[in-house]
Amino acid sequence: MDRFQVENVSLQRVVIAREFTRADIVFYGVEHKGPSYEALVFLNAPEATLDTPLDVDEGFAGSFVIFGHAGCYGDEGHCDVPSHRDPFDSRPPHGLTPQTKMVEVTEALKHPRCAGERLTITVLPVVPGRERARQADVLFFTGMRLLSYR
Amino acid sequence: MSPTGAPSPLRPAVPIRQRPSVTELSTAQLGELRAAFTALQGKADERGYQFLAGIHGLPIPFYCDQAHGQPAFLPWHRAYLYRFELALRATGHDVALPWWDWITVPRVPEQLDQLAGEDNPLFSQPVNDVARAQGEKGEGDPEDQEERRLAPLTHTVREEGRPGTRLPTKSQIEHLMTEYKDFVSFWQKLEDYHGNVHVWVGGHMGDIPFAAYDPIFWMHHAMIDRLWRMWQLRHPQASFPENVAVETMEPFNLTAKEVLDPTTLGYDYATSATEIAVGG
Repeated sequence: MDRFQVENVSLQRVVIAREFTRADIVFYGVEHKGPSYEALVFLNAPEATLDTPLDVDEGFAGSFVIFGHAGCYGDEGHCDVPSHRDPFDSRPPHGLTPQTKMVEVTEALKHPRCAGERLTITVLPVVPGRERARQADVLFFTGMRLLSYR
Repeated sequence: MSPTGAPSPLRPAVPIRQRPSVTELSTAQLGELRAAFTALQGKADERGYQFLAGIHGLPIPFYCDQAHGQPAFLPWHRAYLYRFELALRATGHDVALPWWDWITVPRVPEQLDQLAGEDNPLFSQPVNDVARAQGEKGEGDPEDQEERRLAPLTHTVREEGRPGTRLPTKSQIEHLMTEYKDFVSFWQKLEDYHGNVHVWVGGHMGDIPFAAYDPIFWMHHAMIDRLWRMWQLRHPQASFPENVAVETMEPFNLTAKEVLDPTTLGYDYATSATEIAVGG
């Protein structure tokens, strides 16, 4: 996808009460087969675009970066991650096994912009360009969590 | 933050090398480094630049697949730089791999840039035909395929500072070094910042398949390795999980545990090192 947005995420009491010293948004199953990109994460900024300043006052919370493979170079099946792994297979995992990415959002989540019981999370994948950056259909992940720590 | 002068546990009686900043090299040191890169490029076998650069990406296999997005990211690249540095010195030039501090020098250093009227082996290097042929084979959307554009090029190029890229800031790195106190979260965030620099440099550096062919790759990764070392000194009790410690960094035949302490590999990152004459 070239933009991810989820609205009305219910926040737990400890988050609403700001009873945390650190908070992370964790992305699971992030694919990295394609080009390199940076995923910008905004909180309660549903209108965010690539022109939005990367400032906590504007809802910017942080980012993660994919240093991408940018394609497949082997024969058919070379870049297919096996769905089953022999329990006695001690080789390293397939190189394109999806990754887990963590974005610290402590400051943004404590910002007055995030006061309230619900949250909107927006993720914009940015691919650089010679003339201008662009959002591209490069962001693929299977799960996301908001974690907080006292 | 000051590095330690403790002896290497592997060779306690032998002084270790201190890797320098590329922007603080003397004229003689820079000349030696350039001569070593040129000599390395002249070797067409497994001792040479093309073979070593290819370990990271193309030609297949991508050995770095063990590293990116994995806890082995830092130890794998430490082993990789160690091998590269040994290969540089095997050319007969007594050099240590320098680091590019993109925090205080947020641009391509002039030492790594194009020279008027002469070749600079730290600016650009050839990319071998096998890697380029495999790069042409990549599938997917051509618009999203950097290597489709890169594969025809016989030498590495850069496109630093394109829109949509940025270098990590001093405050970001300081926050990382002080507030991230466990290895896993430190590695993950440092790998993100490392990716920012790759993409900021652009060109061959911007994607995994060709990144290591650009000479700046080695100085960038020496900076990443240095930050890890500085973090280790700040958080001496923080090591990696045991399952990572015993993992072998392929194809270097070193476990992660064996590269945990850079002094066992014969180098460190002292901010300054002054030789003081002793005796008569």
